[in-house]
Amino acid sequence: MGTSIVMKGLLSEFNLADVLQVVSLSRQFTAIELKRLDGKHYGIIWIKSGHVIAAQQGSVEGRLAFYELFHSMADMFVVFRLDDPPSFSAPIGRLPDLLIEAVEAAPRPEGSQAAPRPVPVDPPAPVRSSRAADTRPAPIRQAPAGPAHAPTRPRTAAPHGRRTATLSVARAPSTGMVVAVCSPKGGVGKTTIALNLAVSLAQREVKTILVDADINGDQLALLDARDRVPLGVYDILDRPEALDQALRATASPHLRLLPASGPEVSAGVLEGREQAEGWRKVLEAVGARADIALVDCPAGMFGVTREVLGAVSHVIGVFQSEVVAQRSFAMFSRGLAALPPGRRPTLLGVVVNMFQRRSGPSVEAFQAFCDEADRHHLFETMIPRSEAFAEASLAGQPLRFSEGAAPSPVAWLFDMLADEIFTRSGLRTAATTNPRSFLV
Amino acid sequence: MLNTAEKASIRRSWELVKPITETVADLFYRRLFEVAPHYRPLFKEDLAPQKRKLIAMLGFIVKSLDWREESWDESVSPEDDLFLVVLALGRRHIELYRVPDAAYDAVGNALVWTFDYGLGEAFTRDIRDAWLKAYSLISRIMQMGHCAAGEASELRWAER
Repeated sequence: MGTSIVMKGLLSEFNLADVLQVVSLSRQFTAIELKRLDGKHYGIIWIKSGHVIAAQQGSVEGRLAFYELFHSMADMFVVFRLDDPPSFSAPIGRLPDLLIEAVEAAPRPEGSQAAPRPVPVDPPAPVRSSRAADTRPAPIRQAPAGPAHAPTRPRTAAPHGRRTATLSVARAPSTGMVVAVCSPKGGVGKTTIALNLAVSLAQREVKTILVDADINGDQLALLDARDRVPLGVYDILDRPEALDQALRATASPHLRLLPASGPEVSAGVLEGREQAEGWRKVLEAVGARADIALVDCPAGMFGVTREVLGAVSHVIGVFQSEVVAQRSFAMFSRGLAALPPGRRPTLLGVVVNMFQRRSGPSVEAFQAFCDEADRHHLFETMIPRSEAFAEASLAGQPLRFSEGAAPSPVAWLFDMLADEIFTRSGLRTAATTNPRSFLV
Repeated sequence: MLNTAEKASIRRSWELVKPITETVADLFYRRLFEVAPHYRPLFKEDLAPQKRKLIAMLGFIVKSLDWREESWDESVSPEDDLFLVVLALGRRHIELYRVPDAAYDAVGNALVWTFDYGLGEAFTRDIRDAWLKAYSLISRIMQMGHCAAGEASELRWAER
């Protein structure tokens, strides 16, 4: 069977609904293979001329496989053109219909990993395939339970900007993005990245919350404010209703900080309790109060980090351009892959930190990372090793605030990184949603 | 994916455009540079070839969208495939011409303005919506141009 690769990319950049819709314009017999972060096959959808011919995810085929793939946490897509397609003689449905059905298919219950169970109604389109077809009926078209799962109508209004999800029929989140910032190794600069990135995001007038999920409380250490907070996230994991008391305003009008803990170490930490449910509730409440929240995770991909990862919508990896960090970074993918599919956050990207252009080992570590990992995940903006960070820490300030009106040029790199996050996530800034005339 | 009614709207309106293609091309670029003068340097001084390409590409899009649902299993050659051709075009726009992302909004708005101005009352709400939907899909493919791989990255549409 002759195949030619047509395109490949990341689902963090273009969502699957967009990919399906544009590929459906092709009159070629086309396959969209979905892959995981580690390159492993996740599933495949065959499309031709606006019709979904077949879908397969593991042992599931047909419509159910399509719904499962549509809601999957796959990371990459590869589109092939098939010169000599397999013998599928009839499509399982028109793409627009299947997209609506996939959106309206009953969402998974909280904590469940099972595929959505459709409610019988109309018979499915007849399938005369050489494969074992899914003959189960399509789900009933009814309004889903909660507003978080309300389907958005396909937009046919104005032309749109790049990578915004205007063509998407995927459900619109009712809360802000909650993004874990993590890495397998300690000392790679997660806390510094999270703080300065949060400042740059808030500069764009989006409501931002920075959560310190490291019990060491490094955010407060960085800001030289360890003794100034009575309550932190670890203190409210079993009482999320106290969130507003724990949130602290900052000198940046759109940025609030949720510190790790007050002066006392919380009972949950002392007793070593598993607190996944607490993290889920608190971070859900955080998401309801922000357009975007960054969660500064402790080192490593397991333990508390795993609990946080199971409660966030997105994740950013921090890669220190240095040889030991490079050797341990494989654990980043493994840690994400070890999460249950229904609890795996979308990878926004990996930011390279402490890059030293004139250091052979640093460049070599970066090169090795690119050879082993998928370099498409990298943010274009790289953060160099800089004295400015040490000076800002000394002043107990983020970079932008440490030198008054003339912050370090490195501070601007975080603005660029923030812009990449806006682009990749489709998050809109106040400037894009409410364009203002300069002349008032 | 456009439905049958939307395809018919586009086909019908294109029949009205055909006799005035030169005017439409003139109006389009005039409008584009009026609202976005900073894009003028992206084009050569002589716009005549560019105008011909615009009209030819619009004609190709209309023709490519014009097929019946029942004939979903019929194929066209890769050189005549709307998705593959536009994907390769998008790659060239990104990598060779360095067309900025924001340009797609400006071009879409200028195109709709041009049809609106050129066709007057014949440019109904349905026709406008159909063109916007088609343009959304086309511009989305072009923005995916940097993901093009293999033969699709090199494919060239033979203007005819």
